[in-house]
Amino acid sequence: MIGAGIVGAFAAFRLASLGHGVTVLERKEPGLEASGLNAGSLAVQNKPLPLVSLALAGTRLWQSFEEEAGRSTRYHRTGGLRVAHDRSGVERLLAARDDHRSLGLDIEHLSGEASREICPALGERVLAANWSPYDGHNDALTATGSVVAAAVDAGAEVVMRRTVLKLEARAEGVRVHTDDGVIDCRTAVVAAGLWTKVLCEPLGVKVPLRVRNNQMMVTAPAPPLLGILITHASGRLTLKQVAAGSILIGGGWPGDGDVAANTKRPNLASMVGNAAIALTIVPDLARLSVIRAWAGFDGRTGDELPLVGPVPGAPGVWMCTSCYGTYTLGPALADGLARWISSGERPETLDGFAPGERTVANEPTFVRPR
Amino acid sequence: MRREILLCRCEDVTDRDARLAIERGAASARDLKLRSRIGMGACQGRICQGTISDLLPERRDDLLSTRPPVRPVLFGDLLGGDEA
Repeated sequence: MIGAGIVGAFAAFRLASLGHGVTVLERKEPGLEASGLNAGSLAVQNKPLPLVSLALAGTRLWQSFEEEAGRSTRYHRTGGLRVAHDRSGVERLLAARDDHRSLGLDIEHLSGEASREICPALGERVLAANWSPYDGHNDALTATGSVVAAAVDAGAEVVMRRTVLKLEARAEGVRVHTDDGVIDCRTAVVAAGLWTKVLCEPLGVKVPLRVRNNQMMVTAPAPPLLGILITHASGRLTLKQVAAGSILIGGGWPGDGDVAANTKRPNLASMVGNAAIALTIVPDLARLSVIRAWAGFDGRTGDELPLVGPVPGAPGVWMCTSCYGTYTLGPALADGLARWISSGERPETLDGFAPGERTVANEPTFVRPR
Repeated sequence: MRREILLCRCEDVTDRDARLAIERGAASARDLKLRSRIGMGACQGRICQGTISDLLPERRDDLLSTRPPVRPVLFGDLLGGDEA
């Protein structure tokens, strides 16, 4: 397993629990990139429609993980309101409510007034909201570490500060070249987030990941203001208050940075834009101070759906890339991947997401050189 | 007793919490911050940076990186920052 982000860690946990011998190679430490740098939202109702069922499965796995593994991720299923403050947002919410209900989800469309009964901090400009009983959050900074610990409990070996340089698909298995020796294995899974692209290149496979740089902000601890997760009709805001009282503000606003040097920093215009929407939705935030902002890299295909499955033309090598809401879906992607590798049969939940199964808009998918 | 001493007032991190993080492998100031939350709060390490250096004598020169907005900024003031 290459990468100890949430996908690699959870897949290792599952594979080891199924009795497979698993070694996780992590070039730094668990969850130091996108898995640990996001704001910990675990929402079902703010995902693109093709990912909603996986998001529901992901939140259920996050929830059951704590009991199953006996380790905390500070998971709270608070329920969530996805809010709209303009006409087009309200229309989007109505359509989403119908779509989600057709999938069997219990999503309710509420007036602004009814939304404020659930969450009195919502401002007068909130016109409507959809209520999802499935939404919640956990602590992204420590959760991946808990999953890695559970994988170790289940028998996986985790090697940190080991960089994979190259993968070689051979008739007798996969040879993994690292900065400290060679490891031969039957199956290698690339779950390295943005860096999946780099690791697949020597196999002659172009993974069409685009760099995303996602930034977040956090306030100083405040008295109780938000008991639920707040998301936004067009995806520009997430808000939650964590146990210590701080409020985390996200919404996919872009930070600055340099992928090659792996340096990233928040962008002022994004901080201002994110703050403006946050204040529109929760005016009382004006009394609070932002104490810290940060950014993290993520890599997604143009359609923001995952690529999960065997890598074409490289027997024994599998991949799982990021997608919209990977942090929520991650355990479900990893669980499906682990069951697929273990049984040889693809779970229905992963239908349509295998590498080479679809063409990703504006980007050549899996063009083999020469 | 000494183990209950508060090292980071912003995030309520005790001597015990910080030393536990080091025992579990935190080797740099950033590791220690991410694992124990020391220096992650409102002061952004201005008060506890010296303590962090004392905890990691081999990495005495490690300074916590500054994160915007560097000093706490009210949301309302942040919106005015667009013109800056």
